[in-house]
Parts: sequence; structure tokens; C-alpha cells
Amino acid sequence: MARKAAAHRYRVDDARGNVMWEGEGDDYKAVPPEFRDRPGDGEPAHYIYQLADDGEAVLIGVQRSEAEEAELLAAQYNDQESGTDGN
Amino acid sequence: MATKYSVGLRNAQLDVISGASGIGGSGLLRIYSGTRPANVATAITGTLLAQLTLNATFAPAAASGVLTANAITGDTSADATGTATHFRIWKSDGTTAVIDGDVATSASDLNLTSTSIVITEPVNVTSLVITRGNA
Repeated sequence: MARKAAAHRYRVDDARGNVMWEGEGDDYKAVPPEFRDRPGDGEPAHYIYQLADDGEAVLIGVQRSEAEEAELLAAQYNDQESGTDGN
Repeated sequence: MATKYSVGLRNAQLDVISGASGIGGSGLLRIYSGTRPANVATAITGTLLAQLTLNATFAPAAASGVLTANAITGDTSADATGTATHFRIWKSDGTTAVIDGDVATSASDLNLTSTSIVITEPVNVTSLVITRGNA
């Protein structure tokens, strides 16, 4: 009898840690498309976690609006230009 | 001057990547936009654009200090639109990060047919090559 692959658990939070969705599937495409896609401008980012066997939530990706990602990249670029250490 | 290793030693070190203490079988290749993290232990901040499953045997034995991944089946439907800049390889458990690298269309660690990823469009790899330094 064929063995079914073990399902993985996933969770999607907003930036404040509020759970937007939680579920399981064979791979992360089990996460609903609306959370795997970028949010619209002004909507909260989607923090996608996969839950390890020990319960640890491992961040596997963040879906941000295009405007928020551009802002983040600009901030990182400015930090590099000024020589600021992240700390 | 940095230490220098023989070709045989570099090949042996690279072959560990394919084994259980490295990627192991059917690891996951996740492709991101945004800024590459400082190292593998640093959390991802980029947008996850696509996920591809690596071959059950990651790569054949290394040669000349180079490990070339076996063919990787493309992702038929990307998850977000963006410009691919870096990747992270995870073990098949999806939670154990193993390798980070750069993405381009040529002369990079991971080369794609295009770095302009479009949601629901396919994502295809042309090559994934790891070269051991200290030659």
C-alpha cells in the first residue's frame, strides 16, 4: 500500500503576529493563493511560517505589497550608503 | 594567504552537500526577491516567489571542485510577481535551511530562464552550480 507523504503545517501572520490563516498540506502551495500572492498597497504583509515538528515556526517568506517592498529596499540602500550598522 | 585544498578534498567536501548532513533527498529550492540575508541562519525577509523540489539525488559526484545539481523540475505556477535575486535551499522538511545563493540568468549560483517572475507563470531553472573555493 502506498504511503501518504506526511503533511506539513503552515501559518500566515500579519506583522503584529495576528494569525490570518493556519492549515496543512503536502507543500506550501497549501497556503491559500490570496496569502501566497502579494497584498495590495495599504494591506498588511503576509508572514508565511512553516511549523517544524518541534512546534517552532520557521519564517519561509514574506509577501509584501510592491510599495512596501520598494520602501524596504530603499531603506536598506540608504543604510548601506550611510554606513549604518544594523545592530 | 588562505589555505588551499586539493581537488580531491574539495570534491569530497562538496559531495557532503548531497548527503544527509547536507540537503539530502528532495530538498526544496525557494526563490525570493529583495535583499539576500547575511547568512543561512538569518531569517528570510524577501518575498517568496516560487518553490521547486530538487531531485531525489541532489547532484552527481563533484568534479574539478564543482558540484552541479541534477535537473530540477520547474514550478508551473509562481506564487508572486517580482524580480528573483536570491534563493535558499531547505531540506525536504521545509524548515531546515542549508544553502543561500544568488540568482541571475547566467554566471550565478542559480540561473533561471528569467529573473522576472510573474504570478501563475512557470519558473524554470537552467543550472544550479556550487563551486568550492580555496583551490
